[in-house]
Amino acid sequence: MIAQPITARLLCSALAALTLAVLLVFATPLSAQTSGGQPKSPSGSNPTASSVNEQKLLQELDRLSGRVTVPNPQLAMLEQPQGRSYQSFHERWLPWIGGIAVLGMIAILLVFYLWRGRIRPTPEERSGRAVVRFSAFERLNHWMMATCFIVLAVTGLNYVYGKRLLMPLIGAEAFADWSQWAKFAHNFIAWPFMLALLLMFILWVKDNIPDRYDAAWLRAGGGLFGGRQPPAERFNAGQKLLFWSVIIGGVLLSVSGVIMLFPFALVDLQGMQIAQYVHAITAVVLTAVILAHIYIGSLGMEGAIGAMTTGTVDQAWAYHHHPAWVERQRRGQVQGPTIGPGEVPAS
Amino acid sequence: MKTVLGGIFVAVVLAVVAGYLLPRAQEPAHRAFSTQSVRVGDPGTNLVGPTWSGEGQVPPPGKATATSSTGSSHE
Repeated sequence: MIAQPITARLLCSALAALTLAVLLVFATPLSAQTSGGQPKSPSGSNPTASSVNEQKLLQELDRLSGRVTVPNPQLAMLEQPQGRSYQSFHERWLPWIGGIAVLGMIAILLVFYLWRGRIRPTPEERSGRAVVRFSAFERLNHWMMATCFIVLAVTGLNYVYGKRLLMPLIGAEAFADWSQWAKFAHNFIAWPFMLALLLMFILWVKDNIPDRYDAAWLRAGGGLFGGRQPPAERFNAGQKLLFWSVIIGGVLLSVSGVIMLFPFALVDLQGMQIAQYVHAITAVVLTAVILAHIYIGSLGMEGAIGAMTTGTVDQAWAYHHHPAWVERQRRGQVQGPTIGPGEVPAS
Repeated sequence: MKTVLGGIFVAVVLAVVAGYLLPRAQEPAHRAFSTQSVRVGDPGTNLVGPTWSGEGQVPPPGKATATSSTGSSHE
């Protein structure tokens, strides 16, 4: 009767000791590893607490890159957060920027046309006699540039709006074929565009340097909003603004375009993205500017397109709008287009 | 009008010349990035995938796919 309680007590003691041993075996390494959520050395300090982690590297370096032995060095780029900014620009912002620029300009021109109507020469600006305004070479170069620009604009806008507007209409297969040919046209017609840009600069830069007539022309709004058009030299301030817009915009498009034609040959990944920012924004802004030029050179002003097709304008019109140029021409000081055989000299 | 047509003609002629010369100055990626041990497949013409989203590209039938990870993009 006495032995049973002793045995029970011994068994209880043994069970308690075993439980304590098991707890000690498992609990000690756990507490050593997870104290405070950080690994600790035997001395209690955390050796990696102040080490550089990925987030810190990105903050310091702006991007993470390594080294590769494959021929494509761009693969060394591990993380480049600017890529997400670029994608956001290309897929979200650019369509809006382009749409506002192009459709906004069309809307402005429509309102202007409805308000102002077609600008016509006054009776005193008609003499029936013609003077040479643009030489054949100047006109040829202008139309070469115009052809290139229209092709570049249409095929360039296809990059941004094609999949949104055109593909739902013609289907994915037809859109793929069209886009492939549009890409070829864009890349190939860019070269005569650059040549025409260079020739245009050489031909017209001397006549597009700001002069004493420009401020008055700008103050009067070029006569577009009523009143007489102020006098000017060969080109008025509006034409000069157009010229420099085309030259500066054309250079930006050419440089960024060549960078994109030869990917990574001249710049790195970030440079490629910057080139596309510059190319896209310049293109849509210049397209809006050229729309205004096309309007005022055709529908907006009667007889304006004749200067660039036949090369001549009415002598009285030329004397009213470009008196200094006509006077220089009369004195034989004009270099470039002059009154040729069979033409009536301005007097 | 002759200068208008002339401008168009010159632009087209120069574009054709550029179309002849430019591909000779460029090298396609699948050729430029191949090595003796890594062959990069010709991706064909549709580089943006069947949904034009850049996701889930499907190689054209009969074309080899990229045999390395060199076709990945970091943009």
